[in-house]
Amino acid sequence: MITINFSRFGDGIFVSHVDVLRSLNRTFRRAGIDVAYSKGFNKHMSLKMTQPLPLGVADEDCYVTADIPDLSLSAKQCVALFNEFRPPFLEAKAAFVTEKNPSLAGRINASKYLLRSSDPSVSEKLKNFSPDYEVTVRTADGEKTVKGLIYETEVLPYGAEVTLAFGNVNLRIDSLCRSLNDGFGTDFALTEAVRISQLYRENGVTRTARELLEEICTQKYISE
Amino acid sequence: MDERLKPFLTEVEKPARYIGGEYNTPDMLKACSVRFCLCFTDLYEVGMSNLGIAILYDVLNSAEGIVCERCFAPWTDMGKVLKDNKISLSSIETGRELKNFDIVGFSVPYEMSYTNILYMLDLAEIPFRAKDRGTEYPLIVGGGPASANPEPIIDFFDAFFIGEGEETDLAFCRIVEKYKGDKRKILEEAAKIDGIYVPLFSEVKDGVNVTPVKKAVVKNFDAAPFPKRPLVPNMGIIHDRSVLELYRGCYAGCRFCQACFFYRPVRYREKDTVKALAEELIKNTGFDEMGLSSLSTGDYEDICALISELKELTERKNVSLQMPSMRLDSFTEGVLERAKKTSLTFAPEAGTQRLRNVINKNITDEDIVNSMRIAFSKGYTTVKLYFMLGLPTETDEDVLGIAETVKLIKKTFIETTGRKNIIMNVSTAMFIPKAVTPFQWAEQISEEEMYRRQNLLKKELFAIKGVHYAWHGADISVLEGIFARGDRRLSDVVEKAYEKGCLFDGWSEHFKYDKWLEALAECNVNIASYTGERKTDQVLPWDFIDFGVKKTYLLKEWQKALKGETTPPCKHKCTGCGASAMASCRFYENGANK
Repeated sequence: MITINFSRFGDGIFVSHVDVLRSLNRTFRRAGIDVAYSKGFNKHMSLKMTQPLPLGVADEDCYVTADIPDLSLSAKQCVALFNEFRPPFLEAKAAFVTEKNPSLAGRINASKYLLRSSDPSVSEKLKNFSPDYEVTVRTADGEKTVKGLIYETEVLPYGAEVTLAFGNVNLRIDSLCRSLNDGFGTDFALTEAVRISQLYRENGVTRTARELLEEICTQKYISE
Repeated sequence: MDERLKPFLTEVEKPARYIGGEYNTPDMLKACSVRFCLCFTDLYEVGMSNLGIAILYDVLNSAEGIVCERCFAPWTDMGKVLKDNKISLSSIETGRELKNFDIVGFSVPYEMSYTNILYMLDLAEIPFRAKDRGTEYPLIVGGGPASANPEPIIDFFDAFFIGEGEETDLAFCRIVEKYKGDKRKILEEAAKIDGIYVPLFSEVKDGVNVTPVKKAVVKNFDAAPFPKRPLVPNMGIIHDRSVLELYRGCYAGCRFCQACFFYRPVRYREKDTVKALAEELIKNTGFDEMGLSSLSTGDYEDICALISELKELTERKNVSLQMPSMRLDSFTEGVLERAKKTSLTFAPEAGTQRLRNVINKNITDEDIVNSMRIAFSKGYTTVKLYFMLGLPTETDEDVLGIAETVKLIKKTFIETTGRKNIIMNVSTAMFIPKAVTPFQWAEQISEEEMYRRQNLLKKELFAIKGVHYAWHGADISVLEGIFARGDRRLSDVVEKAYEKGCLFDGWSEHFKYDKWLEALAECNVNIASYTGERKTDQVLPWDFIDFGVKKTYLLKEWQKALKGETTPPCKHKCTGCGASAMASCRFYENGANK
């Protein structure tokens, strides 16, 4: 198994999760990295990604795990090949070779985002923003408020950093942006939001996905 | 990408349609003297599946001094954004507004996309009609399958490319390069080139152009340019695969088929060329599927050997080789052995032998049974069947014959497999008489009659277990029929329909038949005068085009059709259609008919 840590940026923020997966599939094939295939009638490349983000959000911390039974390439070579054959909106930053599937999709339960604003008074507007903030979320039945899914907040002169529940229990970043704009009068645009890291929180301890991988990997490469 | 669109992209459906940035995008910043915007009158996912667009994009961007960008019709949500925010329609690659290109070229795939030409010109803030455009506007040119009869839309174009565009598009760009700024001189020079129809320099008598134009054909098809590094889209498209074009033209001679006669003579890409292209495409795109394209792939010489060799390559690379629909008489066990067993597609087109003879579909019930027996013995349980309703001389017996053919196939399945679990997806399209076919003189049945025949068949098919029946709309077929054999007067109808809100007419959710009927009535167009039978001595709107295939040949075929006589495929004996005068015809060259 090899897990590649990559970023999705530029106009790639408008490429859906399914289409990113399709692009990854083609990148691996162009790069000549021999990923295993499923055994069914409609064979597909064995690639695993973590949960999707809403369209419009840049991602500096994406992961894809590829099942490569006979990995003769080093982690560094995999990163180099990926970057040689990648589409313009994806770029590999690191790779981790593991014996087993690290099951990131099942373990990641939080994501940290940076929300940016050009409004010079944004920090003043957000002075009362804290993890206790009740977020108004739109649902099929109307609106509801949710609480307890914001884990950390830090107000910055140009916006905010927030850590939100992500995974099976999820607070979407677009819901938070909308709620902040309605509640605090900010002007956050989803297209200016960036996911900084994917996190695993357990018993009060928070580790990044990269730290998780570093613990279990047999080989790694992290580019400068 | 046009940066002005960015704030709106999270509000529209499938924003990846508008961002560009595909893998293999050529250098858009190279030094150039001609900027060409290649427009497609439908959505990104449809246009990106069009091989013609891919070929022209590659040809133009490979040429020195030319940059070719793309623009697809924006879906209505994005169209509204552009209008509301006064953003002029721009190219995908660099966001350059269409009105700032030297040439804007529309590929027009079918009749029901005519209003989208105006939709795109409107969004680009370019006047619709050539006569209203001064030198401040780009040259507006057209091409694609609509070039078989461009008359209904010719008023919107400065020039129309008739036939295959690989060489004419490039030649036109070179003229623009040489006489840049002098629109009249450009068009005057362009009119001298085979395959370019310039209405400004054409003589019109009684509303019909009489200045001859010769269709452009690629003479050496094996050496013709083919994109080895095609764009790899960033979103799912209709045909999400790499495509290999095996040959152009068709020897079969089905009398309703415009493509068969329009793309003659038959020209081949040799097996070794195809294999070399396949390797390049797999390496350069990463697509997990590869398709074989031509009008009747099963008729490619040595198709079994080709598929076998391609399979070796594709299986090694985990690429799935997709088989296109096959003519029943070209279907062999060898082909089947090598294909992935999903579902099979066949097009018997008519339900009785008599009518199949009329349309020159050279297959018999025995062919159908034999082919199906082979397929079912190999494990296929799903079959797609395409038929047409309203064909010339069709009777109720022929309509019901479709149901009989379906029953025969089901019976063959039960006899071959001992099981009953067959799935048959039956589709019927309405016959539309098309230009450059032996049926160009035929009558198209009325809308009421179309509904009657559809209902007659529905009743029969719904009684057969395992059959799913889908049918093409009668109303849209009437319009297609009007435009397929239309003349210059119809440009007013297209403009009027667009003003009334018609666009994306090929999409059922946007098709507004009532608005079209209003537009036709307001322009005093009598539907029957377009859909009715044409006299054989009548001058037809597309008669000024030399298609290679002679009108006398088409007439002979029409007369044979009415007598129920068939013409054998020209694979073994030249039938003298005339197309080989344009370029060497494969079968003629091979000597079988000398």
